[in-house]
Amino acid sequence: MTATVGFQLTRLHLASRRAAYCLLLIVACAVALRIALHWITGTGTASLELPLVIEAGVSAAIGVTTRSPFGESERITGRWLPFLRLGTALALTAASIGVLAAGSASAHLFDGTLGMLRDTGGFIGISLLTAALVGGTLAWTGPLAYLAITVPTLTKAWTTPWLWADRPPHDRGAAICAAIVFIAGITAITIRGARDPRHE
Amino acid sequence: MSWMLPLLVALFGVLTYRQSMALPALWSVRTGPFQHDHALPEFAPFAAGIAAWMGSRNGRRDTTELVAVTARSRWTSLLTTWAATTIWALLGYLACVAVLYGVTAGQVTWGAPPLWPVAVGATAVVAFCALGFGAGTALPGWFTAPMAAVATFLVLVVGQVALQHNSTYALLSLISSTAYSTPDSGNFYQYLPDLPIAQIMLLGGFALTVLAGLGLPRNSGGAWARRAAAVLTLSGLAAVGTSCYLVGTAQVTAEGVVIPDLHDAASDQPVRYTAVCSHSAAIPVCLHPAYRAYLPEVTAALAPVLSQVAGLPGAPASVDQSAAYINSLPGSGSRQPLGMETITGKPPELDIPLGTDQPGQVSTSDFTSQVRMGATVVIIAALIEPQQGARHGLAHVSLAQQAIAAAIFQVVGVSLDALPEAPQPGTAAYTAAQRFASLPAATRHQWLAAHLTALKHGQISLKELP
Repeated sequence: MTATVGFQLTRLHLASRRAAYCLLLIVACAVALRIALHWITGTGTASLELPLVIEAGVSAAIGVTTRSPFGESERITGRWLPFLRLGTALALTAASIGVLAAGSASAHLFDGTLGMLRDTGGFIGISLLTAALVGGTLAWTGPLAYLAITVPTLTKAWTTPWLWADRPPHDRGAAICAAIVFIAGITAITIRGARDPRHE
Repeated sequence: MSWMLPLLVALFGVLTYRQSMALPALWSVRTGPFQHDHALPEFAPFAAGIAAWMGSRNGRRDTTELVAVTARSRWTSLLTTWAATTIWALLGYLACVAVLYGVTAGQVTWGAPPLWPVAVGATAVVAFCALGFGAGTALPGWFTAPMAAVATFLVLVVGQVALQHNSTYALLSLISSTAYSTPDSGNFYQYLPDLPIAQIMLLGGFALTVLAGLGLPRNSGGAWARRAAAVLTLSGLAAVGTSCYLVGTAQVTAEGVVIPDLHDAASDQPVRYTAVCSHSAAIPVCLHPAYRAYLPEVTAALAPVLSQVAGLPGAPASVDQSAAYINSLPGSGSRQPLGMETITGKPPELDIPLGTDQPGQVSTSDFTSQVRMGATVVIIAALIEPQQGARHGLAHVSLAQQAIAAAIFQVVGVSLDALPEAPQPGTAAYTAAQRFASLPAATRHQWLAAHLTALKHGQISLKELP
């Protein structure tokens, strides 16, 4: 495969996954994060909750990009598909972390950039796993469900590392759990791809 | 929506139900997590997301024009789809609430379930379904559903932040009904419906505006239908504006939020109840019937101190329970515990507040020691120096008064740490306290009965103590 063909293939793949829309939403989320960090002050629960909600939004958008509009035909004929899926997911993950870090630059992010990296990575992992299980179009339900569990427990004394967002940014167990979920999500989406619901 | 219900029920079970069941069996306490932390963050974002998903269905599938030529108008078909989604979401929400209320009903000893929070929650589910559906219809796309769900979550969190920023309009936040009701609501005073009514008006107004707005475009239906949609849209906007105006006039009182134009004066009447009493201590100990289960622990906690002071001049002749919480200043969004036991009236009555730290939440021994310590401090204050009081420390009372206070603390088993500026070991007052505490109970009581008035007026020196 020549470089031109490879570039064309990548471009078409990204277009079919609506990666540009996703990037726009990620930038919008970063702007929202910047506004939120300007608005919230101190160390109240809101300074933890608002960034988490925005990170969940970013991961939900990335989950939607795993949906294939071509389904079976693409899966059978697309020899490079696993690599394209892996590349897309990694690129969007990197973009989201970079853009969110830029959005929170010079503002007080309660858990710091390290915490944001861990939480966003974990959320994206959940989103990709949900996409592999129920389809890309409903991938957002996974991060939202995790968020619904995490936000009310932020002020509780839950210590399980699987609720990594509730743990301090330097908590090794929480970071390992988030990394495991992210790797599992990336692996599932690379090898299997998002499930194609028949009715969509 | 139907296949999303198992997930929502699981979330409700893990979070709301589990946490509620860990709380004391009081209606006002048990429904706290349901109102505040969990139920809406569990249901509303998913309801909005799924509604957006359903609303964007024709747009995503490019079947909008196909559906437009069917016998029913576009508005009718959209409302039918919205209704189907909303009914599933409402069914799930109400089923979960029914389970929580049903189990609680079997455990509480007094009172009726608060229904206004349920009405607000149900209206919120309807409203968020409408908002999500409207977003899905207006912006059909693959990203609409997740963004509608996340935006809903964001709205709930932002409402919480607004409460912390002391904004009056933050009362419209869906969690404010908890922030401005207390664990005593429904027990000692009525649960005020003013704020829930304003919230329902706001949410209903939003829902009506969005749903009626779907009928405004030219291809939505006939001329009459579009006129009706316009009227309904304006009505919805009027409801939203009215609710905002009403909340702008709200006042936060000790019993909850009062909105003058919605307030029913009958709600100001205290709740009538017949106290449950125990006569196993030296004087009767009475509690609100909702707290009947805690009567043995409270009586056991107070018995040692009551046995020491019963019959002394100024000592309480009975114990009653008072409200534990009072709302803080308008807009601050937090409750402040009254936190103070008081002795009032003639004959004197000791009023004790019981907060939410009850057996089950704290250990029985912690609960007992908290109740005993609070009561001992206020009783000693009333006995030895009503003007200054042991509550404010012993710096301004005589050494003899310090010694008697410390001795009674020691006898009833309350740590001297609870007594600000208590006599320190090695001092004369401390030695006198030890000596007085070692006397037989009858001798102590007899001496106090004979000398308490003189002691109270500072006419007894340390050397005169037995």
